[in-house]
Amino acid sequence: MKKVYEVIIIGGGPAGLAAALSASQNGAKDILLIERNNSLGGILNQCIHNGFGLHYFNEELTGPEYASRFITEVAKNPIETISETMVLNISRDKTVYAINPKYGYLEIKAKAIVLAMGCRERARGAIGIPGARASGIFTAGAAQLYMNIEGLNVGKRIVILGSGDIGLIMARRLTLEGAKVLGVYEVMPYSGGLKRNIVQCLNDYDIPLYLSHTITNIKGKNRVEQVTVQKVDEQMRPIDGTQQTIDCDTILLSVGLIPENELTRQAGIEIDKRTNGAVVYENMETSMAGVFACGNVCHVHDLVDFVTTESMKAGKAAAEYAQKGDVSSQKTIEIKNGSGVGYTVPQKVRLDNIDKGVDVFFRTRAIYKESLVEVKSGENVIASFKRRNLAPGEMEKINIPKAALEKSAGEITVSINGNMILADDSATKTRVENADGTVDLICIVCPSGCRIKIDTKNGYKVTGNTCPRGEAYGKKELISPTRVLTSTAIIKGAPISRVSVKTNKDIPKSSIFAVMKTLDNLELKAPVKIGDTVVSKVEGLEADFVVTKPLP
Amino acid sequence: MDDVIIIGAGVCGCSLAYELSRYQVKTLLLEKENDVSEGTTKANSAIVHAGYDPKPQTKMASYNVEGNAIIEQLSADLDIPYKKIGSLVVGFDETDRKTIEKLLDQGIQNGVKGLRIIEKDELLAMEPNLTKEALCALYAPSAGIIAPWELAIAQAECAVMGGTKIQLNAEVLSIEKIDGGFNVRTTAGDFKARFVVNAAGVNSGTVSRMLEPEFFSIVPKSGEYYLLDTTENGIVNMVIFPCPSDLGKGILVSPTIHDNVIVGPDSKVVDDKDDLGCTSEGLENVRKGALRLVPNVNIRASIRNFSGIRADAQMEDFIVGQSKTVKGFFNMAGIKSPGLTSAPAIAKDIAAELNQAGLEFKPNPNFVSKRRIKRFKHMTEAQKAQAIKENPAYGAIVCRCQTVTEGEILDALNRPVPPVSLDGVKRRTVAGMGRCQGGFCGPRVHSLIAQKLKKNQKDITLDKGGTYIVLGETKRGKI
Repeated sequence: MKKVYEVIIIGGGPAGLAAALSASQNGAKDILLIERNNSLGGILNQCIHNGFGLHYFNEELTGPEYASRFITEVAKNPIETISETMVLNISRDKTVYAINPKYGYLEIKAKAIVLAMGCRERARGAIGIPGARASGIFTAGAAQLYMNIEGLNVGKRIVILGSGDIGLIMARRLTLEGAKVLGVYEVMPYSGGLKRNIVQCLNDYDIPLYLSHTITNIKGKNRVEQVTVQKVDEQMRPIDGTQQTIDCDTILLSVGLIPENELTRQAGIEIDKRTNGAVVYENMETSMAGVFACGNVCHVHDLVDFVTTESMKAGKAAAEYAQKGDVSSQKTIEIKNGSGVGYTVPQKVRLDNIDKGVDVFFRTRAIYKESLVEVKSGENVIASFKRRNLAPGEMEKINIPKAALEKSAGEITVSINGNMILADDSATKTRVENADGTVDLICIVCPSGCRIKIDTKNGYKVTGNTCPRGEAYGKKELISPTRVLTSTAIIKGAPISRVSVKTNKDIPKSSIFAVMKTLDNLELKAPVKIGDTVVSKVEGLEADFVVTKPLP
Repeated sequence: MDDVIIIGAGVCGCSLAYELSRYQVKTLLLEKENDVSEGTTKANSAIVHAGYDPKPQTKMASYNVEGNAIIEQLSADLDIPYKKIGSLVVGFDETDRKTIEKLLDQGIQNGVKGLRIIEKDELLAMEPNLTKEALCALYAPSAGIIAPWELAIAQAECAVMGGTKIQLNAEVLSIEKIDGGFNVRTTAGDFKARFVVNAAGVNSGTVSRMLEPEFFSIVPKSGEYYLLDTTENGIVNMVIFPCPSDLGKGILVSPTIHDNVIVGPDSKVVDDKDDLGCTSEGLENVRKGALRLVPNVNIRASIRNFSGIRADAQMEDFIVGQSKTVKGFFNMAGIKSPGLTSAPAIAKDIAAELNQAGLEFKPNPNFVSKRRIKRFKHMTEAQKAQAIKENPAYGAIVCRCQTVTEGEILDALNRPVPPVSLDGVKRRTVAGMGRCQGGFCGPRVHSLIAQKLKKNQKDITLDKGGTYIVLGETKRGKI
């Protein structure tokens, strides 16, 4: 291992992997990727469900498969990786201090650094749920690790607080492993997760979603025994008289993610209170020159595909910084949040450092229908973008043209001009059978979640879809609905107890539980690689169970 | 037959065990839970009080002031994190000033050193985030902060190394006077000793009544708290109290020894002494109380809420000493605040009384007075490098929020009173005490405990017995 690198990337999850790859592709020579766990891939390793890669690879992959594509690419490039290594701090002169069991206390210098440490989950204390200090309360991600990596069941009767995507994914996962998920309770008047996850994780398994509800008490001497759920008013205060008790042994919390910026803070890098991540320029550079941030450490994303794209940008910029030094720009424009906008990334744009325009990611504070996203300089609208649906749970992107930015003074504002919707219960009505023989559905082919209408009396004619795949989905969903099933199998001789598997083709929805059973008595032995068939022709169907994570 | 059975391994019982381990005394420490420090010791304000609160001439007053001095030395000997940061009792008006003057007078009578009343300007210079409504304050430089459970654990460890026996998971069912001593019947069997000491905390009334006619009973009073993230560290420099009231010392705002900020407690009589739940009203009261003292304290930075039960015997003073009715039976009971501070002093007193009652004190050649703990986070760079070189496990971080290494966790699991639960490991290493509250490190710590105890992970608990975390394996037999 060297003492000096051109680019050091901290974090070997999807953000770090993409940044490393992009730094290498853009000419950086000495690159070091530092990972704290014993394997690369980050949280994707436990996200065994599919739905990743639809934007970036144009195909649907599981988390481990998505990670594996990048891990393989990184291995092919001159990128040094070191795992089981924890960075303790970063100094102003870009020295990275880290520890590793084998290499001891490390002090490594970098010309450029990419921060890609990801995020963590909000825990019970952060939301102050009253009640007993019983066991059986997990963050959704911790439960996911127990189930998918360690092969341990976390509970039998489960209540989920928060409709974040990990909670929805775990609702399905727990159900498939034999638990009873009694309901998902969301304090907001709309869902926090992707619509497709509500359809395929809750509706498929008849798990109810309750909006404007929260947990107001937990009982249990040792393990959780009972929760009280309650309706909340517009100010999110529990409404007296709406208390309902539910007997359960487990509570999962899916109540938000927070970027992990301990290193960033220690280094004195400016943090945006709205994102809880570093304030960044157009190329993901932070307030410390030559230090870049990308992925969930910068702001929490919904989709890994966007993490990849953003991190590619950061990796490229880090490579350029290592070779050329500071970006010089005559004019820097600050992006401010106007009405309805929760945050933007980037927060600052150096005009001379962009080509034709700049991608600006943002989240809204509320739900808007048929609205305009307006970019203003003073009172003048310099760019505007139409959007059918905007929701806080779904990150949005606009591309502001350089020409527009050139017209602005030192500051622009992004705001929403449109119809704000206070409550949106569409998430609880993902399938509506109308009297005229039409059925309204949410298309789950991709994360867009288009609302489509299928006319069962008219040859299953589909309307409302925005792509041909939506038409195919609509028909099939009503005639013979199918799903890809993801799960785990017991594995011996590997550092983890379970390996992730999936059906390599869609299977009928009705056969899911029967197909799950075929994994019960299966015991695999390492090594396994992606695509290895472990059960062929499951339940006499066309599909095979194949491995989705390589374990040497 | 043993010489002494101590019932209860909280900070009182553990302090006494440590004190008795100086001598060749056969001591047995009984605890109903699966670890020491499982009761009031693990959930309180964690303050080493200066000693101006108790009424002069009470046992409480002398124990408090003496205990404050002992803890300073003890924490150095036992390598327990402790800081003498001082405290302020803040007054808002002339009525409060009278209270503060009374406290000053009490403090002087009690022998508290360095006490003085400070006025607004000096007060705000010392604590810039304090409310501008503050008028004056009683400044007590000898107050400190500590990890109370560590004080109990460290003393238990030293005692055990010095020959004290400890029996966990042994709830006392009855006590019987027998020839030459007592038979103590527990859920883990019968144990006999010449002397029995009741240090059973919230259960001390129950234990007393097993032998003595009823002369006190414990009214469990819960107090709820917020623990704030280390990002809030620095909001106050000292322990900030309002003026005390009938309910107690009031809702304080203080740094903790682990660089968090603690806010609380309220005070409420509860029916159930095992009721450790928080309520929304309680937490709201705590929030309001804290904001009154420190208007910009950021409660949203909360990482944990908890509640603790005080063992209030409804008496002015602690109940300490040999029973008036049963010879050989001793009480360390009704140990409410400032119980933590007082515990080591109470232990010395009880030891002296046991000696007077006929327990012979020959110096114990195996007495372990000191211990050292490796805390990676607090090492210098050179020490860190050396620690990893000596043992690679110190190069593997398990708890990233608190920078706790696998080496420290393995060390904790191999100590004389080893933890059997995730919270047991947390109390010894601070793993899981940070902002993610064990979300990341919990499963790893869980598996390290299971490996060490050669148990299945489903048999490992979060804290006390019965607090199981997982129910068994997926695939192998459905749940």
